[in-house]
Amino acid sequence: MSYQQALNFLHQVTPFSSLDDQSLLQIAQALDVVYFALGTQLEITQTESSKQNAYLYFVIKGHIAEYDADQRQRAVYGHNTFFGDAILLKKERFLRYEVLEEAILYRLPQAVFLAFIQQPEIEGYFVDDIVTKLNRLQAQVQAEASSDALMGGVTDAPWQTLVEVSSETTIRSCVEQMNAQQTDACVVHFETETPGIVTAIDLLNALALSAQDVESPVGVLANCPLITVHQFDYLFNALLKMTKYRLNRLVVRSDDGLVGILHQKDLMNVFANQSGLAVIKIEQAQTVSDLQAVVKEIDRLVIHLNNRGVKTHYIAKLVNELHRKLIQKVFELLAVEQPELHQGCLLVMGSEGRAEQVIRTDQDNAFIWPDSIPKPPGLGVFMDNFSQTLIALGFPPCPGNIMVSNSQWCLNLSDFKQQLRDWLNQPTPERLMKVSILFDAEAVVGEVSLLQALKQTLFNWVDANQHFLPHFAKPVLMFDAPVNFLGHWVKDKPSGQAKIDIKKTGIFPIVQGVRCLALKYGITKTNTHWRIKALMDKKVLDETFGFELGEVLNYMNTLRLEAMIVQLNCEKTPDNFIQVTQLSSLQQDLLKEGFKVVARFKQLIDHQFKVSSVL
Amino acid sequence: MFKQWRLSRQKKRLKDPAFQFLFETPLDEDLVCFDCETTGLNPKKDRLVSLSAVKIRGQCILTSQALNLTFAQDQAIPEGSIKVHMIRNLDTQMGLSPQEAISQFLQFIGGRPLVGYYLEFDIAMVNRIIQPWLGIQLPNPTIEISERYYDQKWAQQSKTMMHPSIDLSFQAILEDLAIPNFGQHDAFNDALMTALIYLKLTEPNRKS
Repeated sequence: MSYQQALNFLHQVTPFSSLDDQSLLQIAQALDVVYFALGTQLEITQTESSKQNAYLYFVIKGHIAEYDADQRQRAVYGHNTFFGDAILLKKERFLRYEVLEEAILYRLPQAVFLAFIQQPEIEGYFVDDIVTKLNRLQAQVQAEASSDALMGGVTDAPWQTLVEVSSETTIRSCVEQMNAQQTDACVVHFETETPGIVTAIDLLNALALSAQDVESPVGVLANCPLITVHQFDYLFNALLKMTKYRLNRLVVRSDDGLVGILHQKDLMNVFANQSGLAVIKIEQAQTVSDLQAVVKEIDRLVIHLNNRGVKTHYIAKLVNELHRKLIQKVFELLAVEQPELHQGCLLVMGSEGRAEQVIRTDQDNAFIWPDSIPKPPGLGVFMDNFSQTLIALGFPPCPGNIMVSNSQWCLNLSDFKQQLRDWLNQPTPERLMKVSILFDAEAVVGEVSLLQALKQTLFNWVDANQHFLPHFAKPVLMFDAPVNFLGHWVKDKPSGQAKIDIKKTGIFPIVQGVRCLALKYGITKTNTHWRIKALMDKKVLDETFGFELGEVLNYMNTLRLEAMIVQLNCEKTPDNFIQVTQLSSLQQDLLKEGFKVVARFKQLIDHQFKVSSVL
Repeated sequence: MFKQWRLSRQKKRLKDPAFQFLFETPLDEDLVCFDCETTGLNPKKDRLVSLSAVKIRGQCILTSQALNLTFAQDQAIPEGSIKVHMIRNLDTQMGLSPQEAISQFLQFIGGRPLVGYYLEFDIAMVNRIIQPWLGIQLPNPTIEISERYYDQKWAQQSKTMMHPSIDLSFQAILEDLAIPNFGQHDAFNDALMTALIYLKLTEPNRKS
């Protein structure tokens, strides 16, 4: 009875809340209550003796500030938080505390604290860095939600037995082996080249249509290269690969070699839910109205995946792949009468190009046709129709009118290059934004080389005009983090609510900063995570910081996505604000740590591009 | 002078020398804050149901060494009081006999000063058990927090021309001093909150 209060308190403090009740009760029984008047100073020491102060403190009420040996304020602790762990675990040698608002605290003797942090549920919390902490939170969300086929590994799906033959094997022998193993495909190994795959259909076609002899070697029939998936990869990644390469089979590999064949129909049986069906429905659509239902399914899928704790980065990957398929299908359906359009190149740009748009907020797209052909007749009408169709399907129009229906974004290659050079030579904020959007472009339909040529123009120009980059990087430093020097949230001015624009203050500086670095170092990848990876490979970002940056971006995107889902459920138009008060204290702490990473990244950008010189 | 005389008279009346320590000066400077839950509000008729005590050492309340006692009941607890303190007859089955429980309480407090809210009532409840048994009443010095609170409020308010009207209810004091309500009518929580009130009222900054 008497420890109930302390127990309830501990239940609200991460990570202690993860402990079982037995352990919590033991901790609750060891707690003393302490009262500190305003301005009280204290130090926490590592050794326990009557004069020393070796305790972990939990704040019941009030605020306590933490200072390091150089008198720098490090943090402020409030309700349901604790401090002293850094000293007790000997991670810090000296920390001083000052009571900012008179405080009531629980204190826990060091010995009890040290006895319990060895429990696996909380051990990691005190030793890990922010990346591990975020992963742990993710894992916790995943554990809380029931497991889902989509998040299963490739090992969860039934495979077909792997049949491996050499390129010299005869068709007859190959068929015999496939029959023996009851499979419809086999991997063909070559002496010099990488292996390929031969399916039953290939063999049938060869025998029936090309009239090949059953004793001829299978080598010539093999499809190369082999598309594989790792046995421990997520099932939805396998699905993505199948959709991307339009395959029915993937060869499963382990660290030691090839181990089996994953067939799409088996994969679909495992899924038997919307995500798999969405892909098939897009493939099968005969008219635009068939696609309408798919769009709704994609939205449901987003909510579903997020509840399952799937990282936002992966959700975005899946959803963008589906969106691109959808856009591609719309283009194909509308362009049936105008095959010449396939000589051009349809681009998705901005967040769609980076594959980072999860909730459809706008459409940024463009069309380039080669200089070798004249302007296709009726292009304007076609593009208007195309944009309208996407809008009707639920891709909101771009507020800046960056769409193919705008003739500025529908040009032949040389005109497009000239326009780009004009923007670069006479930059305005609006033009810089257009350059950014274009730099993130990816081809969806048609000739990829047109886009590559356009991007090469951009890289060449930037190489020759290095003074441009500081201007391009300027927006990174434009918005301050919504945390003040005391570590409190900066409240929104008119409403007085603690709501922050997570896109402006957190996500945008990372995306734009990474974009600048990608432009400087000639990185062609468009997704921010892949750009970060490429920058790490080039040693522009060090390994640890690159990972931190990626995880922070992921976390902020997750918070933004969750806020947007709530807004959609309330039938409001999603914006980029999140209510800090609705986050748990662990989420708030992580977000604050995230903003510290953003601040460090801004410094790096400032340093790299000497942005302050042009501010 | 009168206190001294009364103390020495009490000491002489003490029937059991084992409890001599109640009259000795304690070795530490701890205070003891305690609270009881009872079957009713009449100290002459009603009985103790539970008693909790915590020590205050400096700015710390030693909740980890708290004393929590439940008293065995020879008659059923009236329904009205069960609704207040939530201790059912069932919950007192493992309780101690009044003498055994109070003996533990006396060992716990020793000669230390007692702190409480309307302490008079709680002390009267204890005295009803020790008077016939040990021949004495609790000799410890007492600190009544409602008095302390009143004095401070009076000191603050008398500077103005307003006629002071000071709410001395436990809830009002908690709210005024911004102390979190841990849940009232539980002996332990009441003792803890009373101890917090005491610490807050003795905080040096407050008087200035």
